[in-house]
This record gives sequence, structure tokens and C-alpha cells, in this order.
Amino acid sequence: MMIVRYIGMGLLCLWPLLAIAQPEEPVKTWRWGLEWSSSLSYTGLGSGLTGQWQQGRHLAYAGPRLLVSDSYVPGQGPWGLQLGYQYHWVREGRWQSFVNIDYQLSWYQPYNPQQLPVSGRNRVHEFHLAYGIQYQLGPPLYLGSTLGVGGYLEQLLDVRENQRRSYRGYSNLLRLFVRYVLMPSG
Amino acid sequence: MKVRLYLYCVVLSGLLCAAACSKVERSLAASGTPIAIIGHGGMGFITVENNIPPNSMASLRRAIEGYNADGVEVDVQLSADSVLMLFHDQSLLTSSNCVGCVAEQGAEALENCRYRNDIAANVFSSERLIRLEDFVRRMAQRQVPPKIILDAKTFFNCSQSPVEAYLGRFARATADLIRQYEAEEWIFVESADLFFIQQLNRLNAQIKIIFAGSWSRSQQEELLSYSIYGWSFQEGRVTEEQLAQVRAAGWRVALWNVLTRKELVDAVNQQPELIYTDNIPLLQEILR
Repeated sequence: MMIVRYIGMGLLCLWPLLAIAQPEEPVKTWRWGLEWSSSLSYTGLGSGLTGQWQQGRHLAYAGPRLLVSDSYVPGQGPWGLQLGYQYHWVREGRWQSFVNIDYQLSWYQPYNPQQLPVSGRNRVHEFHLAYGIQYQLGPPLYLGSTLGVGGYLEQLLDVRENQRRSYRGYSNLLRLFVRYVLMPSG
Repeated sequence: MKVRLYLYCVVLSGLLCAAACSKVERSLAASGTPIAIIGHGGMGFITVENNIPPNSMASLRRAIEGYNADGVEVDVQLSADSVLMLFHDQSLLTSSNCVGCVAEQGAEALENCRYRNDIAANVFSSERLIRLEDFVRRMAQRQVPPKIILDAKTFFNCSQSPVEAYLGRFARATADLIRQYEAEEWIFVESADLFFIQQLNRLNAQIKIIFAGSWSRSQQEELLSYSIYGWSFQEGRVTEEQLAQVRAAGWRVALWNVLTRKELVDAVNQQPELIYTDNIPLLQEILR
């Protein structure tokens, strides 16, 4: 019964991909850039700077991420990283849309005030399939957003029992970004 | 022009950081013990980030076994057949697929009620109402059982029996469960109902009772005749003077309704023994 629900929800979320539009003429050269993004998902509000590499319609990004929701002193953490792939397929004037596969990982020390003898960190993996749009403000500058659905996998340390426990669940992704694309490298 | 823009950005970032970076002055309770982190309903109530129903087994287990909280605060109601069930609201319809009240139905029927807090809970989760005993049994097996604070929801409007008989049954079921698991040290009962507190005291004077009523001098004097462990207050609604009087009577302090960073920092600075929070990871970050 659960598998039917998952498949049904997955199909429901994939319908935007069926949109038919004029494909963009692919650009063959490599370009790279920087992106500042803020995202809201299961782990809360996160923010990070990622490096990007683009060839034609394919774009990959990677970089660090700071979990703002759970940070007490900024910079102290929890920290993480984000990786992703985008396929850019529709361009209409300054507007462009894309499909996005996003992976975010965050980690932190488990709360252990009694200093019990355990080793390892808590890890939270988040996977999202998203649909996004971006608007070209100027030749190098883009502003965009991504909306997606997916899930999370928490691997947490039960310090009192010295066991690692896993929890899974559903997660939404809202991601806002500013992207600065540098000149083609070659 | 560009230099001025950058300058504005730097100053604005500094101001935002200063506003967000209020720090705790003390991280121990007034009694010198570490502040206990208590998950409100487990992992807290439903938010954009948290779609796990409060008081569900998934939420309670995750708070204790995953996030290493010191305890959880759960909402307890008495079913028609005198079984302690976990559910927050008076009406089942508000967050489950059942109708009516907990007090109108038997435990077996209530265990079939599924939480329906939001679309995610509907599609991806099958969490149902649980008996308190199921959770207590699991926690009793841990090397160090966590603190379980039972918020006794004495909604008697739906009960068929007279109020005092209903409260008497509720107190009896609570005392029996605590005795069965020898849990006087780690199960606490929270209530604002003096008759219920009196019944509990009579059945087992070892039960740790936290009074949840509003503060007044006359109330405090009346409570001195009972065996009271502590007093719980809503964060931001209690003065330093009231806290001092409660502590002078030898009672501990619990603070609730603590979610945001500012509320958490303010709560820690009041040095309570217990904080019931909807954001366990952030409170842990603050107390590290």
C-alpha cells in the first residue's frame, strides 16, 4: 500500500516535466560561475556558496552549506555540503527553466554532555527532485528559484545506548539563488 | 558608488548578526544541575520543517533515541476503558481521522486512529495514536530511562462519568502505571487540577508532580500542603520575582513554549531545571 502511495506521489510531482516547449540552442563551451543560495528543507533553513560548471544544457554545482536554523553562533555549525545537477531545457527571452536533482548532506556531533565514549557524527542526507526557473538580470547575473519534493535519511547516534539509528521521511525543497556566471573558460 | 554599496552591505550584515547572536549567560539550572532538554510532544509540533505528528511513537523515539533529548513531554488522556492514551486535543477530528473525544472511546478503537496533520503525514506516514504504556515499556528498557513528563489532559466534558469519578480513575491509572514500571524517578505528572493532584498524592506520595497553573501567592500557599516537585511556566510570562518565590519553596522550574532562538536563549538565562522545546537540535547547540 505504501509503495502505491509513493509511486502516485512521484508521478504527481513529475507532471511539470511533461511541458513541451522550444528547446534552447545548446552552448558548447564550458562556463563556470558562483551561486549564493538559501534553501528550506527538512533540516531547516540553510545557506551556502557553490561553484558551478556548465556545458550546454548541463550544469553541476557543489559547495559548502551552513544550517542557519540550527546554528547558535554563526560559523560554528552545523555544516554540510550540497551537490546538484541541472538540465536546462527551455528558454523564453530572459527566462529559463530547468530540472534539478539536489543532494544535501549535513553533519554534526551528537549531543553528549556526559562525554559518553561514542565516536561518529550525526548525518542527515536529503535528496530532492525539483523544477526551477531563473531570470537573467544581466549577461552574467541570474536570479532563480527551485521547488521540489524528495526525502531525507537521518543517521543519528544514540549516545546512551551507543547505537546508530536511521530515520527516513518526506521533505520539500524551496531554494532561492543568485548566480554569477563567469566568461567561458575556453 | 560601489564602495558605498559594499559598506552598506557590511554594516547591515553586522547588525543582523548582532541581533541574532544574543548569547546565554549561564548554562546550568539555578540548582546547579544541567538543564534538561525536554522534547515537546517528542520532536515538537508540526512546522514546515517537521511533519512528524507530536505524541506519535515516531516523534517520541526520534527525540530520545535519535536526538538524545533528556526527556519528552507527552499529552495524556484517559480512554473510556481507563487506558492512558497519548493525544493533544480534546477533539480527535483536529489531527486524526477519528471523530469524538478520547474519553468516549475504548483504547482498541483509538489505536486505529491515524494522524492526519498534513498531506505529508497522510501520504508518507501511517502513525496512529498510541497507549502511554507502549512508550513507557520501551523506555524502561534503556540503560538510563529518559524523563517522561505526562501532561494530564483532564478534559472531562466528554466523559460520561461525574467529574470527580473521572479524575479519580485518571489518577488511579497514572499511579498504577508508574508503580508497575517503578518509574517514580523518571516519570513526572503535570497538571493544573488540584483535585487530580490531591488524588495522585494520596495514591503515591513519591510521584513527582509539576504544577501547571498560573502563579499566585495564594495558589503557592495551597500547594505547600502537597508534595510538589516543580512549577511549569510559559516562557516570557513569568517574572524573576515569581521564579525566586517558587525556588524559595524548594520547587524546580520548567519552562514551555520555547521554539525560536531568542525564546531558547531567554529560557536558558532564566536557569530552569527543565525546558520543553519544539527545537531540540538548536537548544543542544546553545547548551553545548
